[in-house]
Amino acid sequence: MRRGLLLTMLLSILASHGVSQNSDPRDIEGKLLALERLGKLQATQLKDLKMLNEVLDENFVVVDQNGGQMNKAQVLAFVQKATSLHYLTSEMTVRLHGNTAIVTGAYQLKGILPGRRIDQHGRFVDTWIEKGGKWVAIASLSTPTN
Amino acid sequence: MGGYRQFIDADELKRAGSGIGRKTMRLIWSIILLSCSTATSLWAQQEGGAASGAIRALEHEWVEAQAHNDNRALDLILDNSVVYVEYGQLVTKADYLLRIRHEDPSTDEIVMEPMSVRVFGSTAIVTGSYRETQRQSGMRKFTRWRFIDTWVYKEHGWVLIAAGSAPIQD
Repeated sequence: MRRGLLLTMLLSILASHGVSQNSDPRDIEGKLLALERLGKLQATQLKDLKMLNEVLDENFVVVDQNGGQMNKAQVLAFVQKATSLHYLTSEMTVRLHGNTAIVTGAYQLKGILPGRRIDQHGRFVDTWIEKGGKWVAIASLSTPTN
Repeated sequence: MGGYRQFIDADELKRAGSGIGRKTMRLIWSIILLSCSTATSLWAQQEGGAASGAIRALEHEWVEAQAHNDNRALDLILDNSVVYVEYGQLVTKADYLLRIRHEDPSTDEIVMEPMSVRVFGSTAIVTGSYRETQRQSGMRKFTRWRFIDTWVYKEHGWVLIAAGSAPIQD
């Protein structure tokens, strides 16, 4: 039931995130926050690779909190490989610079990967751009909180 | 009738002529479009190359400015709403400039390693790593960091809008 609700909400956001060219900045901020919150939850918890594939640009790059770097294909493989993953976000803020947006926030990543358990807390900085009428993530940095 | 036939012939001739013209025009337009698209692609590559060079230079200027407590240069490099994540903390431009103003440059040394620049129109992502040496109470602490910086092209040039780094675990 909860999964169904999440999926419905996410699909409605994904369906509407394309029409943002002349949108109110608050609408864009709302969409990006929803994409961050639900997108990460959906992708990690439900392993929705199709959804991840849509929101990550082909040239997407991520630096994780261990200083490792991954491209889009490696991120998709990482999510697919994990036995279980829970990614929770909080304290999120959006800063708009035309068709570029910076989303910052705090995160908690818990999960089981083959051979190891992870429990990480930190801050993230994500960069989104509007491309072909859609918002896509082009970069993401995670760093541990001291 | 003959006149009609003549009219038809003339019309057919006209159509045949316009058919050749259309083919020729199509060819000419194809060449023009191909030239334009090649020129646009080359221009975009050159633009991307120029942007990449400018951003690399700014990355080095940033390190230099920080090493010399040059807040005037830093003020130009950093956008007013820049988001900087330093040691897991969100830092504003004002906080960062204040820290740099009071920092002893001899306590912190940064050596840049190769970086990669990806340009997405008026936005650019820089990824790379650097080595930091911190000196405190006669002790040296070495840390390697991997970073992502986001630059956007605004009115007067490229400005840094977000930056952050994570310590590389060996």
